[in-house]
Amino acid sequence: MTATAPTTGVQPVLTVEHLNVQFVTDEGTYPAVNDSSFEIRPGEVLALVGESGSGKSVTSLAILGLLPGTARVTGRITLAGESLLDAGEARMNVIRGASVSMLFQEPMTALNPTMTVGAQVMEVLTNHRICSKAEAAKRAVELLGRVGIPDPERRAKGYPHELSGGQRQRVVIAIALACEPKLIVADEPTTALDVTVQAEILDLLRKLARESATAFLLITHNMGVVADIADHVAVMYNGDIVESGPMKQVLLEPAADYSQRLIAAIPKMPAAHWDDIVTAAQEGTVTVPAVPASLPADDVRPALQFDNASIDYVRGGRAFRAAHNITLTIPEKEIVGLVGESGSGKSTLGRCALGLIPAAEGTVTVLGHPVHARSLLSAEDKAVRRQIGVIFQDPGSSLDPRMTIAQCIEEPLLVHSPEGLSGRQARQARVAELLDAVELPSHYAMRYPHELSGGQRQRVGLARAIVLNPRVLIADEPTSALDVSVQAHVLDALRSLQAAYGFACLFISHDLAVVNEMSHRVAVMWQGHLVEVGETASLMVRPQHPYTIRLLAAVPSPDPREQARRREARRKLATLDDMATLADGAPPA
Amino acid sequence: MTTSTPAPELAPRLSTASPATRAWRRFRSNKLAMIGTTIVILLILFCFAGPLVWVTDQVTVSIDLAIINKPWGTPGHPLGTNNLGYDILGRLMKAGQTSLIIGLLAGLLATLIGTCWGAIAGYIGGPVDAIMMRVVDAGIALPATFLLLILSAIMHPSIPLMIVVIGLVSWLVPARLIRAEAITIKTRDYVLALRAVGGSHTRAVARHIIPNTIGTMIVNATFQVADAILLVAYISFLGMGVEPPATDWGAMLTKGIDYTYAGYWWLIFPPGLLIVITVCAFNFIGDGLRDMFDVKGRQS
Amino acid sequence: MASNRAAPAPTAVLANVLAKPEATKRRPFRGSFWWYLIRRLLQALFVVLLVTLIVFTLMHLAMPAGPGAGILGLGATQEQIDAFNHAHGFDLPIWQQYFNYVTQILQGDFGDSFKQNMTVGQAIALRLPKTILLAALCMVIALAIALPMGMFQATRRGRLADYALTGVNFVIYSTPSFFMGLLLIVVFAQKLQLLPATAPAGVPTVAYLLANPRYLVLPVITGSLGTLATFSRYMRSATIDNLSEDYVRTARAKGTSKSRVVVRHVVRNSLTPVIAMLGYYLPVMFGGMLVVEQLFNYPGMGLLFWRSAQQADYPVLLGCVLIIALATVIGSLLADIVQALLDPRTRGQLQ
Repeated sequence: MTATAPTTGVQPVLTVEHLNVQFVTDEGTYPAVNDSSFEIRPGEVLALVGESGSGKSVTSLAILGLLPGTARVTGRITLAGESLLDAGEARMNVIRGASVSMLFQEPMTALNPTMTVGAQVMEVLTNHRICSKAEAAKRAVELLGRVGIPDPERRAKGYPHELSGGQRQRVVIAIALACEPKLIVADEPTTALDVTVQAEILDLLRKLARESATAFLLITHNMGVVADIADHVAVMYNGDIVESGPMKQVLLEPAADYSQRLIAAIPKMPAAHWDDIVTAAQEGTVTVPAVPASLPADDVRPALQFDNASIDYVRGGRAFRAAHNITLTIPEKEIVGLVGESGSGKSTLGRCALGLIPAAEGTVTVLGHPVHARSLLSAEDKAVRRQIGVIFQDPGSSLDPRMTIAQCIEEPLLVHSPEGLSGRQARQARVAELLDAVELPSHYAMRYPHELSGGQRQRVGLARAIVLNPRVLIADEPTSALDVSVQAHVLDALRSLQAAYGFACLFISHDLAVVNEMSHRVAVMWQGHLVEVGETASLMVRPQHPYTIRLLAAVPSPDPREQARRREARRKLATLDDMATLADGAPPA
Repeated sequence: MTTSTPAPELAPRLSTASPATRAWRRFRSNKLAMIGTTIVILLILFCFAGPLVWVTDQVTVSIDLAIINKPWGTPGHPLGTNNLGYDILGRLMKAGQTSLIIGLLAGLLATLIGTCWGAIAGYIGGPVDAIMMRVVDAGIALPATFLLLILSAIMHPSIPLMIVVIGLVSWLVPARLIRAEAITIKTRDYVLALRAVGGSHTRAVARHIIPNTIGTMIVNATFQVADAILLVAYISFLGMGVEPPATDWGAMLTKGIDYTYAGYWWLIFPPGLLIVITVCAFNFIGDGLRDMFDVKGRQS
Repeated sequence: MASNRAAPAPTAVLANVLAKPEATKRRPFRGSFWWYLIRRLLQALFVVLLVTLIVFTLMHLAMPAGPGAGILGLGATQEQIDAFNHAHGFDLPIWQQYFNYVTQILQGDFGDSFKQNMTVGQAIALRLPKTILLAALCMVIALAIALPMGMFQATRRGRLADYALTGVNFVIYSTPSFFMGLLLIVVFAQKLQLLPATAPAGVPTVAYLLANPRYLVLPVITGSLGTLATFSRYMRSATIDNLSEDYVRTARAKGTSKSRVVVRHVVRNSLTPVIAMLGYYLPVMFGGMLVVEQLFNYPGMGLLFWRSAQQADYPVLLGCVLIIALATVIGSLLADIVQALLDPRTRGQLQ
């Protein structure tokens, strides 16, 4: 299928025709991309979207000729009239960086840690003999300034570790821009960044795309990012392009079966009252809400209670306070979402509730009993622990690779030997019951974790978390590592388990949309402080705290119309000094 | 929830074969490792089954000029005899038993001590880890050959003593490797999940930490065996090896040095080559095993 | 909102309250470079203490009744030995003896040799420079070849050149150095008669050896081969690790060729872990010298040690071990500091 671009008569910068990529491994040949074709015109942003394994990243590396030696590539890739697959390695070295450059997903490791930032920008200029060394040094500083690095002269002499993730990504963008290439391939350029930083980088990319004739091939799994900056979209699934067309058409009226299901699986958020929010901010009447010390006395029994808890975190021999005076109640049978960006202290709070980190001040109680983080647990401690289940983020490390699924699930039973479940047969029956509850076939009990997909492993993690029938579940980003359609499945499983077993849940996530769909109540954390707590329905449409407002405005919506409103609100809010001061704040210690 | 039927998740690509089958396939595809394995099996057969076929007297010392210092190709003595009249071929088998037994058992002992020490230090962390690892640092600072020589001077070297002593000077490197691994494993979510639910430290170490270091353990044990065989040879060369009538390849080679100028090459080359081949073979296997267990550098 | 709302307040005021909860600009001492350095020094001191404890234990294992009998020789009576041990404090409680031992070492006193008419310190001082000369030559030559070789192999990974060099490496690593040295002697000294097989008679000085380098050729080749095999393996794997880093892909996307990526980016980052290995390699290096010196009759500390082992001259043996262990502790300390200084991430904390 060919990407249908409007026939403007402009020659495309990049044409990909019948691209096939296969990987030859010692276990066989695997197709990664099948007969894919698309084209990009100058100044356009084409988003190539798909879930992991769809072949979108392989396509991007094929264009730059950076695939490993095990890849077999056929078809035609033409950049400004030149066939890239026929160009030799020497010719590709001239093309890479000059005519086509690339942005990568992981800004923390994309730069050489032992080389100055300036030298790394200069390298691309001197590689292509654009200018003399002295001139290149000057240009490097200019470029750093252009991508929004503050104090570029000093930064150019510094090293990457002195920069934040967002700033490093800006450096990589400066490198990509340096030779004014015809095409920039951006492979998940904002995936590793926090939403507020992502929004800034997207602003920068949109500005660059508008200002120049450079075309962008944007590889992403995030439909919100697509809605924000793409002109055209091509959807990939299992190596095939299943649909392509103008961005609004694909996102709002997807034609292909897969695109429809993919878009339907994206967690939704209600349209926020942006006009009210912006007006209030402009009038200076934004208020910092008092965080409720406890819930209104509706005779609910708290399942999990943080009472003025402060938590210190030790890293590299240094202790710093990761959470300050947190008071938060998770009522029985309720899901409370806890959102925040990285370093906000949300995971630390979860680990404290699990008794993995002690509270430096204040208390954490489960059903009225204090949780202690002692190294050697007393009988009472163990009794408290029985009431808490946990599911973590990474499906790759949540299950011991050397244990069968049944052994993984039954381990808590072996630790506690609860009455009625201590015998071997009782345990097996319980494992079978839970596998059924998370919709996995019972013969999976004898399998090993690596034989399961990420989503299946997270469902096993869920089964293990509730095997002791706990009253509280701590879910720490349980779906963040999963693709959207898989995420939908796991979230469904969690929701139905919660309905069936009636546990309370602290649902930790960086994703406001997921929290919106999952929780009755939302708590927002920022730099170790709990800044706002409220009913989900009201917080999502009319946030009170300046940080929550900024956070909400930064989340890209997969609905292009809502995204346009958010972008406009963000632009207006950014002009307000107070909002900027507050929301920028100090970087997390 | 608005989703109806999510698109099927793409299945993991390597799911058909069992882990053991895949590991074995990886190992088998490594030619060097297969050559190494074959060589080790042949060597064990040569040293332990060989004497049953090629029966020689390795005890009675002879001073009969008709028997001693015979060159290779002498009828009945394909590799000749030495200055005490022992048949070289038969002696190679007997010496090989010593080298292999000490090498294998000392390597095993070193890995065992190192694994326990490293796993405990890494898991506990903090001051306990700091002190345990300083002990390892001190051990590494003491030169192994020198220590072995001193101990051989103090005590009379026998095979069991050599095993224990070589094991005691060789456990330091595995201890460091396993510790590093234990430190990463203990932060894995499955260990945290166990701790959160109230599981004991013993359970964490025994059921999670040690089973997950098994790859490192096996790879390291192989290299330890190779190094131990070399160490045995060095000690013998320095004149402090197992005492006669026991012998090992290193001792045979060393005895032959005096006859080098006389051109009695059959006294040095066979034991020398056997050491090289054996150590090489174990290194090949270790390298193959490392490829097999190491996830790093694998295409995913 | 579930709760009562706070009274309206201008955001700027609240920003001051909230934005920087404990905004202290001063970098804390804990976690700084100097903190690291002091910690590392204390660790090294502790290791030295452990080393002396181990050596002291060995001393008692070797001479349970004190060194009197050994020093006074076979002619001494039991009374004379007891008197000697008493005079030198060898009949004191064990912890007191250990304390005295450490005090002596701090004063540079390693005791007296049983067999040679000099102190252990004198005996070692006479031989050590020659061993250092030999070891340094071996190390420099081995590294000069091993580092480029490992890098070359890494860039040719999985190709014929890599396989061939890896094979050669395995053989070198697996060959006992005395066997290798023996082969060299047979070829170069015996058959071709190009080079001497042993050091000159008597006890030549460092200056003499430097003036007559032909005596050094075979020992240096023999001694450097094992090191070469070890470090080319380290360098190969360190380079391979770095080649799979993201920054290499960034550099390639800039149009930097494969070989230039290695030279400009990878070399420096790959050297760091190799440097860290150098300190810990010292005991292995001295172990190698022990064998080489004995084979070539080279009059260094190794030969001294070997002779002393034959004669059960324990004070000399333990003195040698202690010297090497101390050198190793200092060497690995220096290697760690150099490594920290080479890394901009730790070096940045100096300012």
